[in-house]
Amino acid sequence: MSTIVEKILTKKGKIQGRLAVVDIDYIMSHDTTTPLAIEAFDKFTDNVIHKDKIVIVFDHIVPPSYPDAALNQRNMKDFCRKYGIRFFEGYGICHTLMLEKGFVKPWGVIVGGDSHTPVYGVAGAVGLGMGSTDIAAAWRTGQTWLEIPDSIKIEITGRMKKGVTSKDVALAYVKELTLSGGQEKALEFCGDTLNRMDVYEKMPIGIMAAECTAVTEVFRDETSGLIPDKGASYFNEVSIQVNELEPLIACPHSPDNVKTVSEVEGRDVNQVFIGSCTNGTIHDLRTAAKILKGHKTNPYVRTLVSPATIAIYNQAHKEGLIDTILESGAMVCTPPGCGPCIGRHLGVLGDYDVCVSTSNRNYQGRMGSPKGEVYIASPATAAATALEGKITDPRRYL
Amino acid sequence: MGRAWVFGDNVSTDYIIPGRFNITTNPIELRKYVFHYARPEFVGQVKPGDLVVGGKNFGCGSSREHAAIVLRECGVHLVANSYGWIFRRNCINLGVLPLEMVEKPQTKDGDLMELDLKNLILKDVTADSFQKLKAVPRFVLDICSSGGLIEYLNKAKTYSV
Repeated sequence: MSTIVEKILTKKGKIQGRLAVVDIDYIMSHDTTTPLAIEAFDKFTDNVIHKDKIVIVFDHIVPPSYPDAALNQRNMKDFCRKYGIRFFEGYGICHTLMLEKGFVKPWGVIVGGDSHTPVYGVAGAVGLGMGSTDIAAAWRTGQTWLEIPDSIKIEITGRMKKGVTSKDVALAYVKELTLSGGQEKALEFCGDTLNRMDVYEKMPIGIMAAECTAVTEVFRDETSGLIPDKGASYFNEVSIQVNELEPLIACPHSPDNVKTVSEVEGRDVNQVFIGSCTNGTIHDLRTAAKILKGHKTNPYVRTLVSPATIAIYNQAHKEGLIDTILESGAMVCTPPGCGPCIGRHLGVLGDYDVCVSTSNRNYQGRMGSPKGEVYIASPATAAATALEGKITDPRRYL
Repeated sequence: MGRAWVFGDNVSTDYIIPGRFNITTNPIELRKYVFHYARPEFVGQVKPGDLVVGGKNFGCGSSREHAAIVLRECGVHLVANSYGWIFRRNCINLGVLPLEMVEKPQTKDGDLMELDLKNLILKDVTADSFQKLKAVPRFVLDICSSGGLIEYLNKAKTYSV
């Protein structure tokens, strides 16, 4: 009687009690986690490397905005050249790119030097977020170990009302589970609402699992045979009915401090950011452009829009969305990357700045000054807020 | 013996070292920013052998190993009710034992502590109380006692479960 995650890990691994040693399909890391992984790898006494499993993405500080970051990135390229490792620079944010480039397949196991790696569950793979030493060990062995997690079933049912997006659904379950609710556990997502979404629309739901500290996650997919056994046992079950869901917003300084947008409407803001691995897909740009079209953003708000990959940028350009966004007065930031979300560059907050962001975390200091405040919301809420200069319910623009 | 530095629940890796300081890989440089915003006095006052006492979900958030590195550099012992999954692995991989308490800590910040690693007993000398810590799985102990994951694999070559 296995859950989906148990089935995938059993297929890919050697199991001893609850301990599993699993074969990895791909090992992803980026320019924040790779430099330490290279230092760890250099401590191995032999030169064995599973180079064909390795994917390295330059996305956290692209192009570098500090001399140390530039040095790290040159070292990374030297490492890639030495071992013939594939890398992507300036193509986009790692997770969206991994999906786009087809590295993520049902029944796969991918480890990633990034805490949002569990998101690969949107395409049926077990993604495990790891630190740099684990990444180096995966390069060396092609394997990793873990204690097989129990699962929490999250069933999402019903039709979303106008102005409600998959990000609001994500915030709804994060509120329910809280920051520690997924600890040591895997999340298994199912329900008719998800059957009407493609992988990119599922991304906010998949990304935010990390905010509940889940080990990994997987979305049910009957066509790939990703279904649990009848009678599989779950640690816990959460049900989200989306019919009555309103636009939601996570308030400072925690992703589970979730309120309805109407509860905090009117709060003045200085920055709006639409993008990140969480909400930088073509769906998100369409949602934002629909609201911005024919309007001007508030001049006292720095409005930043960043497609998650170059392919998304190109598609948005073809659809005229980039023009619409630029005409509204918003800035379109390329190359795509993680800069604003992690407070590195392209939109860092100053003291007492208030930002509405479509990203995933709003811990104190996350986007710059610890005296700044970050609210996490959907691209619809963010776009409406950019127009009004204060937190705004998007339904008045739809 | 060391003093207790007590923290609450859900201490994120950003809290341990804010992401914007994770640009260098130099541990001595990184150590300067440990609890930079949250406990600015920590870096100047912490001594090897002190105890960082966390609540539940200590080290949640990002996968950045820098958070585990700075605590290793401070030479502190780590005790909490539970840990973020990635952070716990990062500590093990660097040879820092993430010890777990069963009870909610009664310990106050600044209390004098004694850790008996052999018998897994945590003593609060100031409060004159003690509690038993959770047993550490054999596999985890093997990695930690080797000095970390790389050292473990250099000896073992592969994972043996």
